[in-house]
Amino acid sequence: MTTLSKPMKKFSPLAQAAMDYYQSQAKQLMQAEGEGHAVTAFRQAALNRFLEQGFPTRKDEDWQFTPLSNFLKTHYAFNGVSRIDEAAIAAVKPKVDGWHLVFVDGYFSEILSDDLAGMPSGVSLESGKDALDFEQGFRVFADHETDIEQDAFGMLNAMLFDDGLFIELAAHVRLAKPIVVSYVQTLASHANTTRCKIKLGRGAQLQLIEQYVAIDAGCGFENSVCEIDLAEQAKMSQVIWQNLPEQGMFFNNQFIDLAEQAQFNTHYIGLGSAISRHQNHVQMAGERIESEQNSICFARNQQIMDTRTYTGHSVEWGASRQLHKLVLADQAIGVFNGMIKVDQKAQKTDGMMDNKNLLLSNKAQMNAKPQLEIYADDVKCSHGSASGQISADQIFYLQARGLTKQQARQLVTLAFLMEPLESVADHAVRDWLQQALSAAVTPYLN
Amino acid sequence: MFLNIENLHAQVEDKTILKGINLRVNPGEVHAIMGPNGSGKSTLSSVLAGREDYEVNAGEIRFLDHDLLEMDADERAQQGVFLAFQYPVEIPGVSNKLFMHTALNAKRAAEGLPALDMFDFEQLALEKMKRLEMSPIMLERSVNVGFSGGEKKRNDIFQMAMLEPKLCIMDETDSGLDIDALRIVANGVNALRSNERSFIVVTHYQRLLDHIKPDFVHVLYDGKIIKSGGFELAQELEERGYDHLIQAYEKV
Amino acid sequence: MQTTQYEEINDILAKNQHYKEGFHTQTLVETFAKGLNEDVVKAISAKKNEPQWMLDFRLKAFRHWQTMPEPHWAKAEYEPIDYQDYSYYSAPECGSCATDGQAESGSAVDPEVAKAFAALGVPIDDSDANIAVDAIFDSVSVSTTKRDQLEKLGIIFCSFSEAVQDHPELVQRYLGSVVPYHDNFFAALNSAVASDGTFVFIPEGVRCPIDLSTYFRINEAKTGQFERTILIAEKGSYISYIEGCSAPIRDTYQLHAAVVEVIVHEDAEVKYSTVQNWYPGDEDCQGGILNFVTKRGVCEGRNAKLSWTQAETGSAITWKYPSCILKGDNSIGEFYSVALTNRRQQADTGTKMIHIGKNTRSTIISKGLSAGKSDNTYRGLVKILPGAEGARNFTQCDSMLIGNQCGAHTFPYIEVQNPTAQVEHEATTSRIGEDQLFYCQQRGISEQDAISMIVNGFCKEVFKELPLEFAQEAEELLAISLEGSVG
Repeated sequence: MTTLSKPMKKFSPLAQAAMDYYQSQAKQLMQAEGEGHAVTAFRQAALNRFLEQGFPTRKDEDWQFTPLSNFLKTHYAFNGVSRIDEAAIAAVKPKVDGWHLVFVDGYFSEILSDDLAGMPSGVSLESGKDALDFEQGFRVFADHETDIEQDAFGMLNAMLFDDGLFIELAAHVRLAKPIVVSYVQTLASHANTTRCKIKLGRGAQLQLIEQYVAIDAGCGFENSVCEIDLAEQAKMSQVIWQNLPEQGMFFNNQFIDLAEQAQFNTHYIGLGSAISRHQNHVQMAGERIESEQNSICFARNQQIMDTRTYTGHSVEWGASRQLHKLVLADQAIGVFNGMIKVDQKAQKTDGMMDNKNLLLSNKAQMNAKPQLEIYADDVKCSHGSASGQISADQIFYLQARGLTKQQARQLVTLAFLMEPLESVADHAVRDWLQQALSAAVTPYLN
Repeated sequence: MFLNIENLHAQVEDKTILKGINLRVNPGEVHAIMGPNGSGKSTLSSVLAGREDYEVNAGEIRFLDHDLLEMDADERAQQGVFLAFQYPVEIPGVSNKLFMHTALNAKRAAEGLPALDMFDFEQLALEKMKRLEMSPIMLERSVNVGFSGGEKKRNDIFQMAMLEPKLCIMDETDSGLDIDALRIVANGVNALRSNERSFIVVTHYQRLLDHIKPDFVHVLYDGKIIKSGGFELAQELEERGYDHLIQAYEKV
Repeated sequence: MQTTQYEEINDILAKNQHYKEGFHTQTLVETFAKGLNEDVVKAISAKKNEPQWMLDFRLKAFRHWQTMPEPHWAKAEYEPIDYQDYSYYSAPECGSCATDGQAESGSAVDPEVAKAFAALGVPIDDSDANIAVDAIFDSVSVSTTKRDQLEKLGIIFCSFSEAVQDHPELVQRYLGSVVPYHDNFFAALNSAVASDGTFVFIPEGVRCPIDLSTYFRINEAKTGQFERTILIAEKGSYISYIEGCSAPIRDTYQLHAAVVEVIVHEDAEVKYSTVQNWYPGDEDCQGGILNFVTKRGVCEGRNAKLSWTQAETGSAITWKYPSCILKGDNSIGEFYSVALTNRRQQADTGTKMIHIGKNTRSTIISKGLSAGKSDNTYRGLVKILPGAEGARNFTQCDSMLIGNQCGAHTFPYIEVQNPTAQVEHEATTSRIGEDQLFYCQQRGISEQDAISMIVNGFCKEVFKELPLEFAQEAEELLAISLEGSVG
């Protein structure tokens, strides 16, 4: 145990009350798991750290534009009885052919999920709850603990996660259809703390679609951590669709480790939640890795949308591509923070990060911080960030071709948002995303 | 002796590319080096011009009274070796004028001539540009930045005209050029032909040679010259391709 | 093979101890004992015969400074500074130096000091028709040239100390108006112990016909230089102002914490150029200058324009963000910067563009060159406030790395609170291409000239903003730093 000789930080009463609450929940969980459970020490370490660090405030540079007071006001519950409405849940599943899995209020639902008997051999798929029950199973979740606990929500996740997914593909296993995971909220003010681990063996290929949505009165606090580990030449593409209710809270931390010649491609689409913060930490630790990170956010009213990427190039010949687009309406606040770090050994790195933002209202705000930290000389790195409003020329051009002003604005805004979807390779998935995005956003464009 | 290449072996990283080149060039001659992709054509140009990525592990190159391999690229250039690049390089912020002025005066200094001041230089440059149908604006623009493929090649020919080299090596200058640009390159070369100036024209296709009409044609394959002849050899290659020559060579 | 070339360049860069300005002037000086407390602050004020309000300003700042922690957030590492180990006042001892506010154009400058400035190429003897110079030697201004000529136009160009005596109403009005005494740690320190500096006032409608210039020289060992510069451009006026600096070679860090405040009124334009060539220290940058500077200007009125141009090649550590507060509608802020770091130099520099007024425009062009084992960071803020209708910013940050022991970093902060604003930021990182070098060499240009040519080409966009002779100086400085890069 570390001795806490440092003077304790001072927390606001609001933050202190929330900390006390989550501490008590973690203790209850540990108690329920029983003394000597494999996971106890792990949770306790996270809790100690959490009590020391607490929640970040706006004084923390990384949280300057993402105030948590609205989050801290509600103490999200860890119990409750979910109503399993099969029809309603079926209705919200992505219209994509794949192996569908369903979580309800943070817990895996076997009844609602597809029968996985037909999966090829070499795929192991397990719910986190099962994995937690035995030591080795739980250990697979503990690879990145120091990184994960850099962040209050990472600590909270370690303290409180109670379910999740463990997917492993053996070498050269390729799934013909995507795995589609729906995280469905049905309860109000409920906390859903999941932890996922995805491991792809050498040359394995996986397409993963995740969606975070709600039915009924569902509106809670989603706090996920996902560890992704790609061996040599493995290939993964990922889509995350987040459309929680407007009062929801969404925190997602992904830790992605890539080995030689791995290819990783991710798209995050953020539409819902009062506060959402999606964060990728990509480590490119082998030669000739290709990674691509994209995001699309549409925020309105008082939504705060925060997307972050960290891309570490530590070996030669890595290529990383990023395109992040935000459209901000009403009083929405957008945050983009990206860092490309190139180590001295990572010669021939090709890193590109692009961020483009559209402000639709006088009260919307955009805060961008695209960063480069470079210690190798033979590299090609660039970043760009542009913010502005819809080009009057474009609107006029479309009007001159007979579109109404409203149609023109809708068309231009949608086209702006859709651009990152061009790199979704699977046509069926791209079609679904384009339709869903258009349907979700159009009503708010005028 | 003008240029004499003997038993030249060269490698890049661990790969041996030139495996014993012998070539003799006399003043005023135009030699074409042809060959399929990967035969070592560009390597030969680079080694002649002194690019550092290549390691010469055997052989000798004599140029006039010099051991060429002992000289740095800039010294070779000052002695009159000029390489027209397959892909001329962009240098942002450095004007063509400054670039050529510096280069010309470096050569003049090596020859023991006084430096040209900016006025004399500009006059000379404008004369040469006029002959090459180049717009004087090109002088103010950054070296090759934002130039089209044809403009870059034309700029290289302009530099050749300014530096008046003794040996011009054209490294696949014709690649990616349309007919008009090709004509400009060929006209530029033909205008500069003289009894004292020799050319080595490295190319994959015959079409540039139709305009230039070389005195000698050499076929390079697997790092060696496998056949030499007159202009008719190029015509033969155009009709029959390289395969029959390669097969004949491999049988031996 | 490829690395060797760069190792070679770096070797030579590292060996290149060629700091031309590294001589030390032997002259009689009056230097305060080391240490800093209220009595020292009072003594500085007394030495300068300052009015009570100035002393009050100093003391207020000093008391506040004592409550502040030394900042270490920049991407630059340095040991905590022992502020008691510096002397806070040093002046050449000569009867009629500018300290007493009586000096006339270079008439009574200590001959050794005059020699020093002559060696630095600073025309304190009025020999250059196109420039007026305020020469500052350690804590005091020793000479201000062409004052008569300027006075006829109503231009005030004098040392800060003189301004306190002769133009108290102006100093009181503007001192701390752009950089408040509590702004940051080093600004507070400067406000407390401000040594000297330059004061410039351009009256309404006057276009200053010549460049005004200040040259700072730190001579004494272990002396901090804390100059305070205030520049006021009244309605419709124009001024091009240039500063240069140097220091002798020392084996301990010297501290330089300046504050510059620029006020640009309606329709006025200020061009502020800096060539910073402070001593960078030895191979490990031990003994170099710690350059912690707060420079800020406000475009008060409509159509005001403030342009900062800097060529930064010196100092062990540079920490500097010349900023523009664009208050007036249609006002314009510009920042053009070349920062070259070598050996173990650390530069963390950039700008802040705060858009408040409507249709305000800003342009940021930053060129960072890293060589040796240095770190070169661009850090900048572009902030568009809600009222800044139609504001525009364009930012271009380019980094070039020479060798693979150095670092180049770009940390832009972009905050947009108005939808009609257009903000664009671009950044690239590159190096001198092998193919570029070969191309130049193949045309007969030596490797050294080629490097210098490519580097200067990279910096072109910034150098063209500098006044002509300073652009040449900046190019030469780069050339010196890159000199002998082929063995």
